[in-house]
Amino acid sequence: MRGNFILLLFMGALVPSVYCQDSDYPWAWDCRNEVVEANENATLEDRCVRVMKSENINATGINTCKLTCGPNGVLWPRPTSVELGKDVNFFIPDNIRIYTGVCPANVRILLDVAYQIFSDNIAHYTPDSITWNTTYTHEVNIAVQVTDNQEHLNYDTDESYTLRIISTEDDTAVTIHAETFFGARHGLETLSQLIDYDDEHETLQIVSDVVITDYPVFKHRGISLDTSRNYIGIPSIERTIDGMASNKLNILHWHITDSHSFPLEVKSRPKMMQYGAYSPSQVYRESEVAELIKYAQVRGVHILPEFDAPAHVGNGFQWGEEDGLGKLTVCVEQEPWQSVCVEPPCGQLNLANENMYDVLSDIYKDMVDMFQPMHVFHYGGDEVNLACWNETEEIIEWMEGKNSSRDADDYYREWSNFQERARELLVNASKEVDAESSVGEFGILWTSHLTEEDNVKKYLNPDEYIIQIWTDNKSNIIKEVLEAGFRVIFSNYDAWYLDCGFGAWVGAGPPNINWCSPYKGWQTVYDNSPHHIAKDLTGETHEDKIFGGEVAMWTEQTDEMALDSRLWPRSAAFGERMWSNPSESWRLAETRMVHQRKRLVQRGIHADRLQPEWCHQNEGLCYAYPAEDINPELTTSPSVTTDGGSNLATMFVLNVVAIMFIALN
Amino acid sequence: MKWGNNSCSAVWVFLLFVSYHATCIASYTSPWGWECRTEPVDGNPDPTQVDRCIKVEKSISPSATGLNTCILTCGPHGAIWPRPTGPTHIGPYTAYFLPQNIGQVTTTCPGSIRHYLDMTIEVFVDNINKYHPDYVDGSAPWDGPYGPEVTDQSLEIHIIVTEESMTLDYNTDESYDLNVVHDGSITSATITAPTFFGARHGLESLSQLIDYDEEKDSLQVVHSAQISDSPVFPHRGIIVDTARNFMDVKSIERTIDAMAASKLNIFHWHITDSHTFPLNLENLPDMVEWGTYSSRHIYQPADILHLKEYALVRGIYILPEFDAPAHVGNGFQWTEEAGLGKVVVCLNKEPWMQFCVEPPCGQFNLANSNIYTVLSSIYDGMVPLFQPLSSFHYGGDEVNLNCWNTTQEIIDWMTANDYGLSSDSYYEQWSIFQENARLELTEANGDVEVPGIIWTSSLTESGHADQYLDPEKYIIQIWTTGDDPIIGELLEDGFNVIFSNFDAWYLDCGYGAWVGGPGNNWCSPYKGWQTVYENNPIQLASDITGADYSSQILGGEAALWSEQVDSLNADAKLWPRASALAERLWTNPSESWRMAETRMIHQRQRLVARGIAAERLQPEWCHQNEGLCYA
Repeated sequence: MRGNFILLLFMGALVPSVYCQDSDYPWAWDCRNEVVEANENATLEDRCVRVMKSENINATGINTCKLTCGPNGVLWPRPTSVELGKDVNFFIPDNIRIYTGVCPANVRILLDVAYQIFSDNIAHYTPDSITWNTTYTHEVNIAVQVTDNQEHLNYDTDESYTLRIISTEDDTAVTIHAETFFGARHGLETLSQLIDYDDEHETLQIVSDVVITDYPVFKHRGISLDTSRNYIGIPSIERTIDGMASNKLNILHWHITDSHSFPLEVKSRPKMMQYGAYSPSQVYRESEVAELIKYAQVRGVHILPEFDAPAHVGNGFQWGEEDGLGKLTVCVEQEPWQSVCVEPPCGQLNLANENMYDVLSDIYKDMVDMFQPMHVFHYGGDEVNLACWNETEEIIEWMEGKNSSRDADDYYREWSNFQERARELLVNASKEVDAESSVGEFGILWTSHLTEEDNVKKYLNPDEYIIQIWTDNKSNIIKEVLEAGFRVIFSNYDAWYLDCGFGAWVGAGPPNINWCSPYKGWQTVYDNSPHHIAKDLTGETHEDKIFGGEVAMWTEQTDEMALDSRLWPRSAAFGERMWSNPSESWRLAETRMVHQRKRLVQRGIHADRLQPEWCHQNEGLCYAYPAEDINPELTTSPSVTTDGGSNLATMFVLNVVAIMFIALN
Repeated sequence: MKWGNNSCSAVWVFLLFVSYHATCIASYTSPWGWECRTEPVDGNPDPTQVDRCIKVEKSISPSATGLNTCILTCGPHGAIWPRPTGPTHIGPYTAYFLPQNIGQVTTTCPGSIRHYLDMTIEVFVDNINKYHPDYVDGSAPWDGPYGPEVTDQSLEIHIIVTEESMTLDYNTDESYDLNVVHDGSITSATITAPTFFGARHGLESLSQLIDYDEEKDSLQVVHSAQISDSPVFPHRGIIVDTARNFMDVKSIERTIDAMAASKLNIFHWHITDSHTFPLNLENLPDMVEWGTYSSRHIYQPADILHLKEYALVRGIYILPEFDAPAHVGNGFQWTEEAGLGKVVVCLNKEPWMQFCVEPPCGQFNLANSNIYTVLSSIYDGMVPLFQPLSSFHYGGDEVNLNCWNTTQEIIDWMTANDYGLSSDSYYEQWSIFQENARLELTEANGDVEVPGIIWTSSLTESGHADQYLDPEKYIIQIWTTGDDPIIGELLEDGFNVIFSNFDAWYLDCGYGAWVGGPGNNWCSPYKGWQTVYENNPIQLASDITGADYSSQILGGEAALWSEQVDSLNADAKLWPRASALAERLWTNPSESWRMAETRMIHQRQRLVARGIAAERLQPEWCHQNEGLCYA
């Protein structure tokens, strides 16, 4: 038997911190079984309770408590099955050994990178530069075993793993068994969440005894990232992938282009980028894309490219006429935009121009080459504006030349013809590179007019397309596509659009907020269950057809500066919905969620703050429940006003005086 | 199962930080340029014509320039933010120059302030270096190669200041005049101001006549400009809360940098609250030991002194708040052991809804006269850190009478002294506490009285304010809605006021609920920059009272309560929306946000260039296609 040992070296951050003595710190934590506030069932739950160190000999540091308290410790997303020990062993990084057992050679190479990522992740738990105390001799031996040689994630990938930890006083033995590399890396991710820094001992610590069997409920667990409205630099996309890996998300759906900009280098058509990028520094080179795909692969993430068409095109195509190809797109930057598209700038492919298909074919070929192996492709296909086509002289003449009338149905027919030609171009390009490519079965389209009512059956084949739902959770379209036999991905905007709730960006009047407001809080993201939505609309859960979901990060109002805080930690909430599909509400996940946010921050992601740190240190005390449960008179206050959806603190803040009068009387 | 070292070959892998950006890929030249044209404002009911930068193909319009050149010189105010209030002329051309070719810099001023002028000039030079896209840690690669059109050009700066005061208060004259002329190869900028603060603002405006030129990889300056400028309101602030979550010193510095970029002048620091007491007072170390989240969440005295100076050089006064008698709690747990009894009551009391507005609860124990011992120690510790005080914030908001009235010690004390247990009895005692606090603060400040600021509260409500508070001694900071009749009453009672009405100027609103849920936080929705911009205190006062109270309105503050904010996201929540506030308070424009939109977008870009992670308001397409993102 051959195996490799990897000795992990740790690099602490170099920021000195010499404030008051930690030994003066008066607080410690104790895991206690307490009532969950605001839970109608009055469930008892394990909680880390802050206590005075001087009065509680058994209390520990906060991380020790969190690692071992409750059935799931601080594991995120919650594993399918887990037993956690109540003790930890303290160790220093020098004493970690990782060993690859039975494993195909190609996977061994991927695992070696995954070990580095693992070690980097746990290195980030240490807050300051630190000199490890070598008197801690406890050894941590990690053995990883993988049976299958699969290197690329697809819809058939087995992502399951088992993880066991047993320990003695001297050492901890960790075993991770997985069918594929992807399961093994999830196992390493879980292992990294069974480890944390300990302030008291100034060591790392690992949970003493663990048995985990784990696999995801949904196979498509994605983030859709738009890099056209605003450019997102490669380091930010890498950070996004880091965050995804931390939450076992596996699909980065890359909405690369749109009418605003075309930042992608297409080698056969270099003018696309030259005319289409915001500036020469805001582009994705082919070589950068290749590196990014590898970066994602070793983190268990597949990059799913989208080239949105026939709408959502525009900038980048302006060179067509000069180069003798005629107008490739129509309505580009046409004014007033409201009459020909949903947001400025407008633009749609010119159906009347055969040259358009040549350019489309070249774009597809280059994308197929860049995104190998391509088992799934996103055609976009949303928000076609028929008025654009129907007001363009060239298209009117073309329709008339075909003796076609110009009703909506005629344009739907032409749109679906376009879609079929696009599909053939893409699938053919893909088959040329890989005859086995499954992309013919897995084309993705957004819900649109083409997926409505009768159209979807008439124009699209359920064996060829997966439909990505971006309507709200009550839309009849969901029922239509499920009952027509389509496989679906959920991105219903009322829960999973992360760009909502900010200021208006196309001028408006008060209240000056964007179209899909309000903001979707993490609780809303967490509670959004595709199975429940399907059942409410159709009476069935359609589990076989629901591949999963994506949160969407449209970037009209996001660039690298605030990307992290829009995506995280809300996408972590989504991650648990996709992986664990919990039957309980967000309330039972709250303390783990807040800790997961902290973990993301340690890993270099500028995740949003959900709560005061006080809530992290005082688990379960940042609750709210209806006032009548504690004091019925409070709600009779004459001047109480609540705005819909706001939490109850509103009335307390606004009406504190009124409430107090009543309380006093 | 065990694995021994000797059973396998060992491979040592060193941890590397992998960078995918080491290789530089050959660039291409963009086909686009920009031209300043006069066009109608879309979406504006009155068809005003304005100057706009229009994206054109360079091959078709050879005179088109880079985007920055166009934006610097297009329109009556170029890219200056906030818009100057006096006569302003911005010329149509720019001259290239490099930071190393800043020639003569002269300062004519009282000797005592020369040091500060020198430091603020250093800030200016650093700011213009930051326009380079590859600026890192204090320097930018001005590598060229450059032709004579760049290298033969230089910038001279002359600053003339007459007064020697370095104190920023409500009487400070912040006005300045800026004159830029060009003579062949020298661009000469002259700033004349009565005070250091005006001169600093003049330098800020000069830095906004400068930007990076993409084609030459050089700086450029508008080479003919005259600006005469002064603020409408003297109090132009941001309140930052560092108690709900900690903000590190670096992020406070960034906040101050961004304030300076928008000529805001008050950093109101809500340092403590019931959640934490992160301030290390050397005369009272127990407060921070018990009150901090951890040893990494502390402001040391040296940090405060550093920030005070950092702010002053950037024209900003740090206004400290110690909120009392409510909004206290963590930090005070040591007093019983120390024999001082309970200084805080209702601390962390459950269910919190009965005793405070958000967890954790806590209020001073009115029945314990030792609260004044502790309070005076806190003031004694704070004053030297923040002095000279121009004003002080006592907090004074959200006292929960039910907390006091359910605490046996206080009930006994109220009863024993025949104060009664009615609401009015408690208001009376609260106001006595407030007066005692004011006396303690004044004593700590060497018996020098300073304007005290308190939040609107039950004490400032109808029939209370005039009964309990002296308009000569207190400024009221309004955080109710902008149409609250209380505003009228306070003005009619003669109080000076600062606006922070939450329906426009609370920047923490619109996010998810943090207690309970689902749903969003209490002051939702989010306040878009347009809402922030259009919130006009003088107009609000006049709508309520029908009279002009502009002389009593000192200004306003945007508030960033930090329940859901920390060092990581503060920039995006504050900026660029606080820049919209800044133009309201400096310029008090009569036009709507529509006329400011393109400058606002560019100001956001400027903040990002200066290292502030400001939020994006629009697709970059809107920045490159001015005026087309209308509705």
